[in-house]
Amino acid sequence: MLSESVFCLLTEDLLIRILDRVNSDRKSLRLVCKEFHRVESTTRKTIRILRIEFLLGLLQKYCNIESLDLSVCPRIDDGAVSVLLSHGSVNWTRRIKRLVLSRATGLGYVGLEMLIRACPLLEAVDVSHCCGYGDREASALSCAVRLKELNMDKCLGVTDIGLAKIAVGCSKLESLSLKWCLEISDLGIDLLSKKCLELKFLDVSYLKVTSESLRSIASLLKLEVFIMVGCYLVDDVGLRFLEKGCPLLKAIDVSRCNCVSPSGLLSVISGHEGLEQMDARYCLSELSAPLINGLKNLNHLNIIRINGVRVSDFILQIIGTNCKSLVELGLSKCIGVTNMGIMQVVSGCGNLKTLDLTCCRSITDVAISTIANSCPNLACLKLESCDMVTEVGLYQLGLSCLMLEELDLTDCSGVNDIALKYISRCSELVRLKLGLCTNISDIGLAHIACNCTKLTELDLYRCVRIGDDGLAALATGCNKLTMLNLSYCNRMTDTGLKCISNLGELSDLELRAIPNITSIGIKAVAINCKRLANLDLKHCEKINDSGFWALAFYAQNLLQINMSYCNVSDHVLCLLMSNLKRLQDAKLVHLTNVTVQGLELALRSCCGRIKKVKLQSSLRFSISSEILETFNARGCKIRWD
Amino acid sequence: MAEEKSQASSSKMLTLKASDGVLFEVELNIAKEMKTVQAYIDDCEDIETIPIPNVLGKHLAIVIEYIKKTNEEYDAEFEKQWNMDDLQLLLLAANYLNISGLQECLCKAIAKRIENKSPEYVRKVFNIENDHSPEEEAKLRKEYKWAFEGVDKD
Repeated sequence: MLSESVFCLLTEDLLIRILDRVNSDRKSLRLVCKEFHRVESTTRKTIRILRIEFLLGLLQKYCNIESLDLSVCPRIDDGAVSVLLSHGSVNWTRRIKRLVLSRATGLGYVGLEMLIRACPLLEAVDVSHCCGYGDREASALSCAVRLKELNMDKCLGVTDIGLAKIAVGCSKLESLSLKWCLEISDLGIDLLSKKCLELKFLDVSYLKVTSESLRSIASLLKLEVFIMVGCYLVDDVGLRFLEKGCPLLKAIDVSRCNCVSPSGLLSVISGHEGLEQMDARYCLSELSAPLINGLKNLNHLNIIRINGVRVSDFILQIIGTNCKSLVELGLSKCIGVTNMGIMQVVSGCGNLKTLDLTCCRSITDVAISTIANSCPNLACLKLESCDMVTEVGLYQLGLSCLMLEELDLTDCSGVNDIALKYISRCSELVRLKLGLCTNISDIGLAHIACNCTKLTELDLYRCVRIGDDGLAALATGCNKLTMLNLSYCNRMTDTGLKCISNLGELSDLELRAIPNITSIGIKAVAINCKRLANLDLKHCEKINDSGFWALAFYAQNLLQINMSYCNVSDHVLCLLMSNLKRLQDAKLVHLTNVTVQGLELALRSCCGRIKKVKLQSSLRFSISSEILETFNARGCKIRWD
Repeated sequence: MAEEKSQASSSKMLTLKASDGVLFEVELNIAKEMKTVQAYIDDCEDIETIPIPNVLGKHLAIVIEYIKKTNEEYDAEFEKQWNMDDLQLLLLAANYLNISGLQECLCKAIAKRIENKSPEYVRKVFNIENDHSPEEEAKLRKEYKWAFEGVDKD
């Protein structure tokens, strides 16, 4: 190596600017030399810890981080936090603005409060899915005086008392999500509305609140986004409060609110002609005439989702004529969607980027052609179960919609290899669903593999004519694939699986019921797909211990595995459960070669780490109750099949 | 009158002298893109020749060419022609001369060449040595084991 390289002349701030523009993860650059290490350490702003044993060391080096994500760090608990915060210099807490503790079920209110008090600049906290959290944890959260964003989805124990503490302590709150916090009532919402006047975003989905809550919420003058999915106790009376309230309201979601009728929705619309987003999925059966009339004034609407409602050509025409800014339209499972209706709406809304026509079975190629010709910016098109769509319509799509990123053709029996050839012209495709398209074969798949190089998600569920040749093409052409579903593609053999193993970015792989794959193929996947996180091998009965051993040894990033009905032995099962330190969800139904003792040993070995296990119900009384209790105590759910 | 004056100033030529003595005649509006030169002119109005002591003639020529031709297409092709040493020296020049567009372009170019690459590759490309001690490196590698996923084949 030369003694004086140009690199020595580069100033630190230039190196910082270069590293800032590195688009991939910069982790490995730390090893280049001390200068890189130092600069990377001081400039890293966000970190997502994967393993708890490195937590302390990493946080000591990264003292400028603003966002800390511990959600995939198994079993972070009060003890760990206590160690983190008592260890000499706690520089790393001084700049933290965002803490992600989603699913960190091991952390209790003591540790949570310590953590929050240590971070003076804390503005955003996510404790969603910490199902055991209640009012004591809410009290800990209320110590974050500067808090602006809080996500408490599924914190099932939080009551009005806990919410009150937060409302009083965090008066600067701008965004609050309380989905599924079933203990909260109108009282809590009322106090919240009186204390947190800065609220811009509020999600009360599935809460047992009544229309009275909406009376309180209407007084939130800065509220812009209001989500109340599944609030079955709220009716039109509540929505009428909103008519004159929340003057800045831009988005409303009343999906699955059984007691809401078109009249209630009309109240909201009448008061807010600047509305940009309207979500009323599966709540109305029909749109009344006054409501349709009201739609005429919503010229700023960007997003309409009215899944499950009965529409007509007339309604779609009104939307097409008046809602010219429409960017997303959701008509999934709507009755009455015809070619004519679609043509009328897309000819008015040329800026459409997302169109959901799932189960709109009357749609034919004529509509697809019109969509293609009217909406050149289309990015997402969902046509699940539109089985009259054939290659004729998809030809137009491939010609005109070159920005298309997501296409769902699940259960579209009209899709064949020629259709795939036409679709492959959409070279920006990122997500493609072809589940149940039984007429496609390796030939069609090869077209996709050749041209859609940006593909990251591909669903070929039950595409029974796909075989090893198609998979070989896929592995070469679509090397960015992260999700691949090949369940029931029973022509596949180890040869095809070995090709798949070349997909280095693969993280989700479903291989249910593929009779001809063996340990040879699985071993290749285990060794080469280093990012594999979710694996489904249910009913793959030819895979034996050798394959599972390879998984136990190599697949260190596995988070979820489904091994139900597989042929693994006691010894290898135990190895797997103890070796895979990041495993959080295991489905172990009907493992015929595993004894009860073997299963118990395997469960014991992963007890502290795993979060969900599925076993067959016949074992419910065979497995020692001591294990079941320990699992329960450690916050791990056992589901019985 | 005002028109004449502005016409005159836009066609006024300046001479820039690189560190190795090479002289470049540039129009005033080109030179003004270099904020450092602009500051120089602001300070002493009548100057004809401005010394640029930190930049070699070869690199100053490239910088001037960039300023004249910069647009999206040119930028995309520009960075492909230079090796890593030249990119760094150009970045140092752009930094000294305070040309923000060129700095941005070069930082992105260098970043693109090292993203997703192994530490060994990055050292080779920058021509630097690994100054971690073997113990330090072993410790770092063990700590950051998961850091090596997703790295391109060199």
